[in-house]
Amino acid sequence: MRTQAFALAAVALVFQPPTFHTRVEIVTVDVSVTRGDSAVAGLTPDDFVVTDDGIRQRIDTVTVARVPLSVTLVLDTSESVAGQRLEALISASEQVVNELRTSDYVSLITFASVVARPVALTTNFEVVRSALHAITGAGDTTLRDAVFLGLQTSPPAATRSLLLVFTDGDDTSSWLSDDEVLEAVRHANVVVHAVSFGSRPFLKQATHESGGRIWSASSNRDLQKLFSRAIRDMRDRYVLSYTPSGVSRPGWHALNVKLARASADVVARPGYWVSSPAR
Amino acid sequence: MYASGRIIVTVGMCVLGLSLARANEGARVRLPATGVTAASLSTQPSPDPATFQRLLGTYRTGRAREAIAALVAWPVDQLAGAAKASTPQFSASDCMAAAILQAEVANALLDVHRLQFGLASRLSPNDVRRVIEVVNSGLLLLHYAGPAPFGEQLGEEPRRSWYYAMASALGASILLQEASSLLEIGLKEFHDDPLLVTARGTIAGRFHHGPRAAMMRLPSTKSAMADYKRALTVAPDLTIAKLRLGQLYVDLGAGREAVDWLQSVSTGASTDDQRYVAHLLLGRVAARAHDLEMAGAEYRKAYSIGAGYQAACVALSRNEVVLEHPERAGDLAQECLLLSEHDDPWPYYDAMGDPDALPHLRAEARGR
Repeated sequence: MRTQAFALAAVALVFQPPTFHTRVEIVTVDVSVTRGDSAVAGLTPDDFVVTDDGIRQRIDTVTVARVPLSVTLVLDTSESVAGQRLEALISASEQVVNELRTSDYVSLITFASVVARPVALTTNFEVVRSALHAITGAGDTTLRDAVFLGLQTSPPAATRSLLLVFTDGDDTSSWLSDDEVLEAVRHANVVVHAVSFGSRPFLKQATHESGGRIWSASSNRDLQKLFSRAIRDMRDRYVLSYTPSGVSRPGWHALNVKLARASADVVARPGYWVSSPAR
Repeated sequence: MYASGRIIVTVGMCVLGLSLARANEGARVRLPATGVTAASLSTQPSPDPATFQRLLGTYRTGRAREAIAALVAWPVDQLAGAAKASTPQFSASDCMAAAILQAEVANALLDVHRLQFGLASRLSPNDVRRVIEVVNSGLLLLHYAGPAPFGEQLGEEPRRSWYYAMASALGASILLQEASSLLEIGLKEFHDDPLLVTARGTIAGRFHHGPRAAMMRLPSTKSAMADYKRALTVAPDLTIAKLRLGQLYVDLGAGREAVDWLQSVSTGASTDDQRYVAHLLLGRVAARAHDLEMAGAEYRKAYSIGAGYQAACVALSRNEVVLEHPERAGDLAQECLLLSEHDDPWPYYDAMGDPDALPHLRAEARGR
């Protein structure tokens, strides 16, 4: 879900957190529509039904795959990843970089006993490739702190933010709790996709709250395929925008997105947060 | 995570039988698994009593790292043998210093594991056996050291501190059974000693929440609380007991009860690390009570003490998110991501270790 506020004259979509400094607000929502493993293409505003706090909204525009991405790779580099898994992780991450377009941005965050950011958002993909090959696996797992810090990255204007998280273990060393990070997810304007080994309830919840998806890997060989799928899902997403009607209060807004007629798997964030004007 | 030289370690003599029995006794003692390469081993001093005594001298004259690095590369049976063979030449003070040095070596073995695998990771049975053998060697030296090894002024204090430091380190590495056994030995010698009672509380109450809980089989928090209170009845100014009690109350969601103890630590602790942790926890209590201004103030104090510690930075950034100051939260987050080289004591405290315990003993060994 993405929201923003700007003057009526402004036409271009600028993806920023919601503010209410102006009279007109445009809310934008990332929506994934799939049937089986395939994206459903060719949908128009009339194909979607969006409710904001239970009130149906009129969709102004639907775009797909036009807006550049700001992809932050958030990679578990704790001891459990060392060895062949680390090699597979590096290959999968390189594949992500290879699939990016020149207008996209990418950054790299790693987490073990501490969270580090070897590469800030950049269009210089070669720097990221080099940094990936410098990764080693050792130490604890600070998953929650890493997701939180990744969410705080300010993306360049006119890009859609994606946090692509990988882990194969439970958090062992974060300061923040699950609830604290999930609250940050609701406040942020970022889609969180995750690839994991085993069941990861925190990541499942974080991806749900952000309108993202989680994929479970069963072997190291799956990583490349699943990382690619995560990027493809982001590319195939529809971005719906609407001018909210009758729901201009600050705080949490419950969102519901579904298709008007056809049946398909629709994934969008369950709500968005509007800051108080007094703040 | 804490790195070598700042942590602790331990185990005991009676622990001996128990722990060694569970390890693979038939296994050949192998060289330390971490950081010791064939090349480095070729330059290590040979494991004999004379070299051990020389390295003890090195340790006591302030070159602790040099001595520990050399000894950690020795096969543990030869290390223990060299220490034992040295005792006829040792004074009581030498024996105590050697016991402390063995604690340092055991800690270094644990530390290598912590750095590689993390605080929540268990040692292999063989690595446990190696640690126990070194600790038992230390316990033997402690036996030879006698009741007041560093003189009447310090009296029994070094011995008590040794048990405490060792048990804390073992507990932080999830060697809970070994830590408990060692504390039993210590408490038999020093009945109701507040420091040892505090350590027993941390072992009893360790990880009653979080992902590690299942690994620990979580004994009762009630007994932990009782131990902390008992320790504070005997020694009302015992900072570590106040900190642990405050931490336990925070974990139990009893913020009001936690505040007094933590405030006392934040103003009265003798070490920056303890004050840092106290402010962090006070911030957490305030945040849970939705007093975000107070939470921010406490986190800022923590951050100013532990400049460069990531937990405080993350806490501050998260507080700004809740205050709906996204730009400040973002700026702080960028700062946090640059702090990766720093050595935050919070995870080690959270794992119920006490990073001040071994340096304290080291200073005593050096001063005598």
